[in-house]
Amino acid sequence: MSATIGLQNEQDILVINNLRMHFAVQHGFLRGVHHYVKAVDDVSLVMRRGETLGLVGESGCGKTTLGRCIVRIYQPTAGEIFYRAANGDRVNLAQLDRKELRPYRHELRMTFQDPYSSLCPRMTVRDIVGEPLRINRICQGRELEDRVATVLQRVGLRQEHMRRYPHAFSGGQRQRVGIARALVLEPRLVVADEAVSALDVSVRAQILNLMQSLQRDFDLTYLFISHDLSVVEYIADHVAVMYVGKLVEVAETSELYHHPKHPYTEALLSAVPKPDPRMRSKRIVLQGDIPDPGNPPPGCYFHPRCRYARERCHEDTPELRDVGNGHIVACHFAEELSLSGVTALARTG
Amino acid sequence: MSNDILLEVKGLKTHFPLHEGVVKAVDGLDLAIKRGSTLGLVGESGCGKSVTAFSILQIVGRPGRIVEGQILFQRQVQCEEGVFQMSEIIDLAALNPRGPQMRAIRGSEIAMIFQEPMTSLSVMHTIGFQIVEAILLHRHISQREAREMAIKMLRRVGLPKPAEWFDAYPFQLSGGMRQRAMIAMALVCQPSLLIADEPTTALDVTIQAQILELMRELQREEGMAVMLITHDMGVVAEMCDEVAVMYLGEVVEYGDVDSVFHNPLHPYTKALLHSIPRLGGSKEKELEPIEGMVPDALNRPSGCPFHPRCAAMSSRACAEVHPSMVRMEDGQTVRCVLYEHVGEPMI
Repeated sequence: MSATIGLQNEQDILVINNLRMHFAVQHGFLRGVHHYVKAVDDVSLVMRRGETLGLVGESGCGKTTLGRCIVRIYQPTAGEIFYRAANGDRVNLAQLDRKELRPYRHELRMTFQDPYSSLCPRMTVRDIVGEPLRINRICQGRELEDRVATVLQRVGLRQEHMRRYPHAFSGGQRQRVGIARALVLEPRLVVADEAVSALDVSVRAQILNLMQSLQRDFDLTYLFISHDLSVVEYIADHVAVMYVGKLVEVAETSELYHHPKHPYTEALLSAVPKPDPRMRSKRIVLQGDIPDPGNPPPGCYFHPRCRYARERCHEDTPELRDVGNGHIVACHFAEELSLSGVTALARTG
Repeated sequence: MSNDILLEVKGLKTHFPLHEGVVKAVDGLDLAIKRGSTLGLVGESGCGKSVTAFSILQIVGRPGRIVEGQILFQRQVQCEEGVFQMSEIIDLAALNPRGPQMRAIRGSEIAMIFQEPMTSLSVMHTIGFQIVEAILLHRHISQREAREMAIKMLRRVGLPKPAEWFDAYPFQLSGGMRQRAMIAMALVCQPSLLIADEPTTALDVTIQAQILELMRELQREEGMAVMLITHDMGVVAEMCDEVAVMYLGEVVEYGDVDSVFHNPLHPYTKALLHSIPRLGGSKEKELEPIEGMVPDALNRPSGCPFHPRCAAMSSRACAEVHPSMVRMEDGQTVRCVLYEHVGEPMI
C-alpha cells in the first residue's frame, strides 16, 4: 500500500502496515511451540476519517483478530498501527504498553459479535454502559447516570431501561446496549464486529440505520466486520476482502462489487442468494473448505479453490498491488481476468 | 384433497400452556405442499416457523401440544405387485406421537434437517453410527448393508472419502461437512417430504451455496418435496416454488415465489422485502425497517396481529377484527382487511 510511513494524508485516521498476529500452537509435555497460526498475516490498510471500511471474508479468515489488534485487545506479533489521535498526536498503537495506551483507549472502541454473551447477565444496563466511565475515572454518581441516560436515549432505548438486566431485552435491544457501551466514551473509531449478524432482518435494518445516523452525528469512523456482503455494501465506503489471514482485495465499495478483480471476491459475490426469484442464476460454487491458517497451501492461498488457477499460482505468492483507481488486489492475473460483479437489481415490492 | 398434494395442514393450533398464560405458537395455520415442490416458510424469529415443523413431525417439546387442526399426509402405498400404487391419507395430528405409526413415518417418509448441525448430532457417536441407526430403524437389512448404504449416501452428499469419515465424530468435521452428514442422515430413507429448518443459517456464504446446490440436485433426483424454513429472503428466492409468510403463528400471505416477491400484497411481506439490503442496490435509499418488534407471545395484539407495526394500518377495523384469508384472482392468498372486499373469501 502507498502509505509506508503512515498518516501523511490529513484524512487518514488509522494506517496499518504489515500487521501480523501469529498465535503459537503449543504441543506436548514441555509446551513447546508446535507451529504458528497466522491469523493475520502481513495486512496493510488505510482508514479515512468519518468513513466506513467493510471487512469481509469467511469465518476463520482473521477478520475479528484484525479488529481486536486495532483496539489492542491483542498485542500484534509484528507491524505498525499508526493512529491520529484527537489532539493531533500520531502514535503507533502496536508499540505502546498498557499505560501508554490508556489515553487512547476511549477513542478506539469495539462492539462485540454476540449480543447474548457479550453483556454480563449480573450487571444492570446502567452498570454495563457506565462501567467504561467509571474505569476511566471520567465521572461517577449522578453525572454518570445522566450520561448513561443520554447515550441510551441516543441509541433508541428508554431511561427506565437502566435498571434492567440484559435478560429482559431482545437481541436488537441488546445490540443497542452494546453500541451504547461503545459510544459512552465518545470514541472516534469503532470496530463493529458482526454488529447485525445475530439479528432478524427487520431489526437488522433498524440497527444499520442507527449506526449510520450515529456516524453522521458523532463523526465516527467504522471498521465494519461482517460476512454478509449485502449488509457491507449498504453501509461501507470501502471494502477489504480477507482470505486466510491476508487481504486479497481492497477497493471503493461500488467498484469492488461491480468490478471485482480477485476470483475470490467474484465467487463470494456470486454465492450470495439474491432476493429476487427472477435472478436465479448459475452460481460459482467454490469447492472445499477454507484452508487451515496453521497450515496454508503454498503459493496463492486461494489456488486450490480458484477456477482460474494456473501453474504460477501454485508457487508464487501474489503481492497486493494497485491496479488503478486505488483498487488494490493480490492476484497474478488481475488485469487479464474479466470477472463478473453484481448486476444492479431493481427494487421490487 | 387432490392427488398432487403431499401434505395439507388445516387450522393447526399448537399451544404451550405456561404458568403465565398460554403461548399460541401456532394459531390457525393452513398450508399445502405439492409433491416434489419446495415451499418456503418465512418470517421473523418467534413467529412459529419451527413449531410448525415440529408439529408435523409430532416432536413438539413439552408443555406444547397440538390442540386443534389436521395435518393430512398423503402417502403412497406400494402394493405387493409393485406396479400398482395406492394413496392413503392419514391425519398426523391425530396419531399418538409415540405410537408405531408416527414412528414409522418420522425419519422415514418425513425427515428433517435441523438448524444447528453441531447441537442436533450426537457428540457421543460417530456420524456413521448415527446414520446406520436411522436406517436400521426403518429398513429390515443387515448391519453391513446399512453401512454400505450410509457410505453411499455420504458420497452422494459430497463428503470426500466417505469410508474414512464414516467413523469420525461430529466435532472432527467442519460446519459444512456436518451439515452434509445431517442431510445424508435425513435422506437415507428416501423421504417424500424433507423439512429443512434454517439449513444454511450457521454457514458461510460459500458453503451455503454448496449446500443449497446439493439440496436442489438431490431434490431433482429423488423427487421429494421440501419445506424450507428460513428468514433469509435470498435463500427463498433462489430455492422455492411457493412461499408462505408467517406472522405470529399464522400465514398472512401465500403464493408462488414470483408473485410474492414481485407483487407482495400483505403489508408485512412488503415491509420484510423493503428492510433487506440488496446486492447492487442503490446506497442512497435508506432501509425501511419494520418498526418495533414481534410482540410478546403472551400478549397478542387484538384484531390483526400485525396492526401495531403496520405502515398501512387504515381503519379501526385493523385493531378490532381479525381478518380472514382471501384468495386473489391469480391464486395468491392474503390475510389483511385491505383485500377483504377485493378477494374471494376462502372456505
